[in-house]
Amino acid sequence: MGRRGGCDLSAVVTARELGLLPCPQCGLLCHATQDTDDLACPRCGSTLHARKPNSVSRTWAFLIASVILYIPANTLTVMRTDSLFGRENHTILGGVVDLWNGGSWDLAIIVFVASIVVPILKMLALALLAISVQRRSHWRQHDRARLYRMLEAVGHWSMLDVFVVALLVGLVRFHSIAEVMPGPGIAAFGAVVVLTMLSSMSLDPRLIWDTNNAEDV
Amino acid sequence: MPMTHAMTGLLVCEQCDAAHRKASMQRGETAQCTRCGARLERAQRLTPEGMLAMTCAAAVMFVIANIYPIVRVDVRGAHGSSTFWGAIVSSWQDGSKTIAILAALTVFFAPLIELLAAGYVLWPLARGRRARHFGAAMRVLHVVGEWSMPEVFLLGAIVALVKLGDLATVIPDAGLWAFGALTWLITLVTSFDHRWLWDVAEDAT
Repeated sequence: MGRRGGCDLSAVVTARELGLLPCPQCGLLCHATQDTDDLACPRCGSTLHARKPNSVSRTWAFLIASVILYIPANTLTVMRTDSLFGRENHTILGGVVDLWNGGSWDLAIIVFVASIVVPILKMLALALLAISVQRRSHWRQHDRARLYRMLEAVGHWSMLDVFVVALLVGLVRFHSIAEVMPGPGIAAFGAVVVLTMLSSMSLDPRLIWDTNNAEDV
Repeated sequence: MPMTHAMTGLLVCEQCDAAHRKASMQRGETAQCTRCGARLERAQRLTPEGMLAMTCAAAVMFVIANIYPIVRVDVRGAHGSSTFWGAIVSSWQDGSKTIAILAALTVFFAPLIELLAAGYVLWPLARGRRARHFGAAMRVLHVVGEWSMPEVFLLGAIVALVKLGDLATVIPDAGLWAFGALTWLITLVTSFDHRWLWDVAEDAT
């Protein structure tokens, strides 16, 4: 039950055009009397910026780091199991296959989405958003804004596999019968998740819309 | 510092910077941005007192979730059980310090700090007073909230149980149920609009 605000689409007025800086922390609207970078919110003391500083470069930096770590995350072992049936090395994708073959196709799909689909789509989406913002594109702004909100909402679910491994390592400690050890891949995987989260936090979604206002160019 | 002063009657979209006139809303209603469709504001369902009650309930669940075992395991006569901390300590000792730190930060410390900060802010606010370090606590809530993931851990625990099912007999224990309740309560407590609480605190002394 959405309720629309005041203005209509043809006459969007931005806070920047009004000379206002919304505080990212407490929402207070402050008058930007000078074009300086070191304004502080009078209510909560947060630093005020019209846009997140160096948004695109920071996004790229975290994104590139995560893409690099994505390779060891998927090729290295995330978990090693020693049981009476011998020693097995598991990768992220292998874990999904095991669940599927074990009959838990529903969980297999959840893990597949959280561990494989979400990280890949997230990296592609971040690259798409960063490139389109850099090119000051007008292309499908609505969809890109929605894409960004989705990224923010689903990003942390990829941490799923990190928790699965941590729990299995903690639970399966029966010397000589069965043991589970973490592999180097899981650390890389955890780092990928954290880096993509940092990357999307660095991206300022307001940049998607800045092309509409001539004076911002 | 240059002069700054508050302006009321306007609502600015955090996602696209479009300015809107504030409209009065019913409890539970949401306002959407006319340009990008993001949520502008949501009229709160809960009062600060209600939120404080939720925070206390979440704190109780947090204690149970961390004291009781998440699951009991039975493999060919060998028994085992593990609490959340047991799993963290094992991961630490068995070589992957990174995952131990990640799990401890996102499932233990982040929710703990969230609950403490929320309690600290809400306790005086429910009595119409403003906590002494209100601003600092609100900043902590804002930052830590992004990294708190008990809900993801809950799903992870379910996946881990199913994976173990082939190898052993597994019985979910009190810790797992408590994590379920904690996830629900903490989502209720932290999903409020931070800016709204700032406005409430404005009127408090």
